Amino acid sequence: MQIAAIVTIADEIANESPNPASRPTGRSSGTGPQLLLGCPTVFWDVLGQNIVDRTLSRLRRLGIEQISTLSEAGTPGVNAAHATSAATFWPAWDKLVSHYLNQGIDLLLLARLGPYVEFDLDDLVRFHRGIGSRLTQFYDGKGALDLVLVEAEQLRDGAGSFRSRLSSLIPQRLRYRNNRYTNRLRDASDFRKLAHDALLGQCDIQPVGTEIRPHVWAGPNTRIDSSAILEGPAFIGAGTCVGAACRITQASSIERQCDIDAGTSIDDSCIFPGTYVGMGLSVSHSLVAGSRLVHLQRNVEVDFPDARLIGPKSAPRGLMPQNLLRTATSLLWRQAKNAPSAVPTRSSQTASLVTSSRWLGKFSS
Amino acid sequence: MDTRSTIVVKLPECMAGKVVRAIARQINPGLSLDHPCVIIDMSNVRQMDTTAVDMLLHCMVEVARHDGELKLAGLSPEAATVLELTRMDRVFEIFPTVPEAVTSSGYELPQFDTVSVAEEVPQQPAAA
Repeated sequence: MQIAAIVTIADEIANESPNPASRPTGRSSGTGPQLLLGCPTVFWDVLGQNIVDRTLSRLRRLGIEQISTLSEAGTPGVNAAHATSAATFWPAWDKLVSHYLNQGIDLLLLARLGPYVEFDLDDLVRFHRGIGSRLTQFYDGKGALDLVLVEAEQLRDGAGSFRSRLSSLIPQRLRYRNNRYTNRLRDASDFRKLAHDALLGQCDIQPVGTEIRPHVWAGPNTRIDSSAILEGPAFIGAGTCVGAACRITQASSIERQCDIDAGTSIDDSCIFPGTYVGMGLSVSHSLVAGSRLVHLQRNVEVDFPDARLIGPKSAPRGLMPQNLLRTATSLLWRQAKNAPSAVPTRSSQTASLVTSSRWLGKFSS
Repeated sequence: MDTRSTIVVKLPECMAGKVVRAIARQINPGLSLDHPCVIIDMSNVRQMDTTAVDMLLHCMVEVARHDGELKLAGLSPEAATVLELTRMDRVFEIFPTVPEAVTSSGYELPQFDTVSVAEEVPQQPAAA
């Protein structure tokens, strides 16, 4: 049996309509662009690989070799060969369907990302064929998912575009209750939950890296200072530096090519690729990408123009303001009698933070 | 006789760069009063950089020199996030609302002066 897949990169968060053929019709039909910190959610890395690549890899592992990707409205980052505008999406989609039908496929899997969905393909096909379904749509406990399996011969027959033929099948769709892991990725909290669940082994996402200590994974070429404390589970992406006296806790992930400067704590957070997090800071319950931070508990996005705090790794920056660093250092020294005075060089600032952290550890143990 | 003075300073939306320096100049006289009690109302703050945090620390030091106290009140989510990131949330006394900050000082409302600092930066003459 031949199965092909068309994976669509969504431009909008899905509306409540269960009809996949009704989208996209323009921004007015959705609830807004599915962006996270300025980039489509599915293009952000989760433990070393983005959702799109993970989905394509998983489909290949399931034995689906013919896979195409399409972007609904010129979503950046998609292979130019498959990028479309809102006006050209459906003609491009029709063309792909026609191509696969001509190849003689039996079943067509249509997935709109969007949601992250794990499923058992064999079980799905058994269900679909067992009850003689023409179109089977995925459902979970929260409702319909943007994933359907359709009989190719149903699309071969009929008049009009393949989109219209698909639409005509919708009323006859049968529901497949998916009991595997799903995450709708509707907002920043959903994304954080996905990373958290992946680190706790609650879904099939595997970190891209080796387990350097129990429940701590690191990609290649990472540099983790010996004084840094990493409480598993945690993920450190390829090429990332974790500075002296840093603390990484509560299932945090730091993706590739990041720089976490000395004395900083990362708790219950995701740091996206290419981000610098400054000295002596405390990032908690947040997603950070470049100069933007989303605080999940306060439900607020904050832009930081000062690259000494957070920013793109490539941005030029100077030393932290002395008042700030002196105060942060004194906080780490609160149980010590003699706090060191910060002197205005980077190495002495780092040493000050590292020494403070070690003294605090002594008093705490 | 209690000679303390209470000032509530309402910060503007943007607390960054030159704006902060201008605000600091406006606030400074109040910090030098006898036993000042300065309450910074941060409910309007939407943008804050390290200069602003530095200014708050400076205010705290100045107020302490005059045996006074400085409190932050009504932190906006943005301001709270910046202070948490820089660990300054552990340095300042923070209250959910201005009235709570005022009453914590032992004063009754409305026995305090509110100063709304201007957001506009004064035009500086071009250097010769």
